Amino acid sequence: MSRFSKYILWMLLILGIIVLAADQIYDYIFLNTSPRDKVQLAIKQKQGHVDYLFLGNSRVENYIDCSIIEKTTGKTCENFGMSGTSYQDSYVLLNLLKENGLTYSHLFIQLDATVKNETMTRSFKASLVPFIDSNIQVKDVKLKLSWSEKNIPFYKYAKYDYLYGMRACFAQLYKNKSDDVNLGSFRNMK
Amino acid sequence: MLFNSIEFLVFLPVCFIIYWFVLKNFLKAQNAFILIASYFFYGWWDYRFLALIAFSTVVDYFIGLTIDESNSKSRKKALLVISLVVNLGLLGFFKYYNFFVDSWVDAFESLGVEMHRTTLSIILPVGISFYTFQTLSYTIDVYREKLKPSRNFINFAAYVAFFPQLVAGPIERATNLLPQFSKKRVFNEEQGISGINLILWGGLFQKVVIADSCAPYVNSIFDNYESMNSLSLILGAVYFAFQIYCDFAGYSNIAIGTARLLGFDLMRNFNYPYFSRDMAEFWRRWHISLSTWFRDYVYIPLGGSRGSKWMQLRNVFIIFMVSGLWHGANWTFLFWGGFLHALFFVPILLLNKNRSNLDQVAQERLLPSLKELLQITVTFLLACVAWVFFRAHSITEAFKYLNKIVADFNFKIEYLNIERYSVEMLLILLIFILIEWFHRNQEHPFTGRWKWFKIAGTLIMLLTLGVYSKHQDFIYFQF
Repeated sequence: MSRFSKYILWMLLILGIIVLAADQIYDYIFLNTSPRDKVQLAIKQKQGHVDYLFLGNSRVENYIDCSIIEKTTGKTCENFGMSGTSYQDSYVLLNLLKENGLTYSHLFIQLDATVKNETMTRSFKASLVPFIDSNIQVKDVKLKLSWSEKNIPFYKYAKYDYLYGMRACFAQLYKNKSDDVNLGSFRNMK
Repeated sequence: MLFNSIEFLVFLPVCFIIYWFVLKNFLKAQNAFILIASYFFYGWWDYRFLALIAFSTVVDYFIGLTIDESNSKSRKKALLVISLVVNLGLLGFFKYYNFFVDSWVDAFESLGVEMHRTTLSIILPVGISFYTFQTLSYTIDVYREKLKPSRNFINFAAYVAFFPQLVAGPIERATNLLPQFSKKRVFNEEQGISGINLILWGGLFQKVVIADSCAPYVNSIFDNYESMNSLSLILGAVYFAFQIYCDFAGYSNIAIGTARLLGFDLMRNFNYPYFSRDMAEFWRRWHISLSTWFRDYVYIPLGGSRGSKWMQLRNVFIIFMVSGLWHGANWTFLFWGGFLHALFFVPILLLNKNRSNLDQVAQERLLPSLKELLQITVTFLLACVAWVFFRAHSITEAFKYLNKIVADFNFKIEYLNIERYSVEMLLILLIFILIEWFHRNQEHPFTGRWKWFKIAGTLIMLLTLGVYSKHQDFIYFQF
């Protein structure tokens, strides 16, 4: 049994090293490259002052055209609407923006009884995945992470592999332009 | 319990430790433990259907003994018929009742006769097609006096319910597996290591990386085939070919690997089928345990390749029809097997070429010849055409799918509703094909001087390319 045991141990050792290395590499890439979605933008980019700030789901993202607002009012406008988000997601996003220095004169949050959802959506939670281990503090945010998500290396990426897998990692690394960080929004209608 | 689940990740090591460390010198206890573990494994899915396996086991155990003790040939035959009726009756009821009722009513309604449709809400017990065929092989072999009946009920029950291959095969013959329960088992390190390698390669790489990655592309393309162009539709068929292959071969490899960890040898179920040069070779390499089962228990008793060409053709169509029906209660499966694959076989049979490619392709050569490459490509494309019928919801849908490939004739790369480009899987598949090609004479790639690099590479791909969030059931569970 000794050879077999050694074989298993070697395999587990290699797996352990790969898991740790992959976790570090993924973390590094997601934390140190240009933002590819609005959550990353809120966390990574130092925020300034904005006159009109819009939050909500795809209805905000797709139908609020900041360029028209800016042109009409002469004030600054940012559209942080994200497809499929809930109230809770908007609340977290607002906190992230504020923590990162954003100030605003007017805040518009979409309230929609038909899509009322007071828990964080899976996709939004997934977008916070790369930052779980980082020093970026998300104050007052209850992510409700499982023990495995917090403590097992790479588990968070495996769990949300469809959004934060190898493909996203490559896209992040090669700075593919993403419409998701277009704060003018109105993108799908153009 | 699924092989690619967390539960199995706990279940298998626990079984292994109890089996080899606690019960090491107690064969009877090991067999009893396998039986308990197998029932636990199956009951994890739905404990109610354990009664069905137990019933099948009891019936065949006693019929086997009675056949052996009986001196009258007619009595032996009658007992065999009882076993066939009971086993196939259960299979027929759970798997085909609604299909036959629906087909019957549809047929009458098409003639203008109104009929009452009395279908039932029947859950198909997982693995019923597999263990039914396994127990049938036992009674038939006892009847044919190829096998002495088991006089140890625990051994026999463990053989029927052996958890590594209970729900999706390989369909083991009693002549191979049953005697292994009577022999003292000593842990063989080589066997254990090869078992682990098979689990890693088949179960984890083939299933989690290839099959599960193909699944969203296949679903997206097949579900929206009416709006897809030719390229996407061709890719959909190719992806499905690899999805079903890696899904099923992956399961079989985990089954074989798990059995090896417990000291058992199961038969090989897949032998690089997509490198086949003709359809006859394809069927010698695809789902081998089922193909050989049909060969031995249906095809040869029907006359096999003896007799006139007409008789041979009839036998081929019968065997493929039964094979199609075995896969599922739907006309698409009948068309896939009973018509298309049988049709692909006709020219091979007429030209007496059905045993012309018995060796491995490009033996002792790095690359295939142009002729071989052409043969492999044609065989693969024919298989893909047939897979469209296998995957489609109806025969009409499959024809529409194939028609659109020709009629549309648009080869632009499309962006699918899964937010992926249609061609994205091709690179991973190419890597997979190359790995398989260079290791086609072996069970798995983890051999030779670079073994540990290959293992590390596989683990890296497993981790970074594997699908974990969108867990896919094994396709063959539904059969």
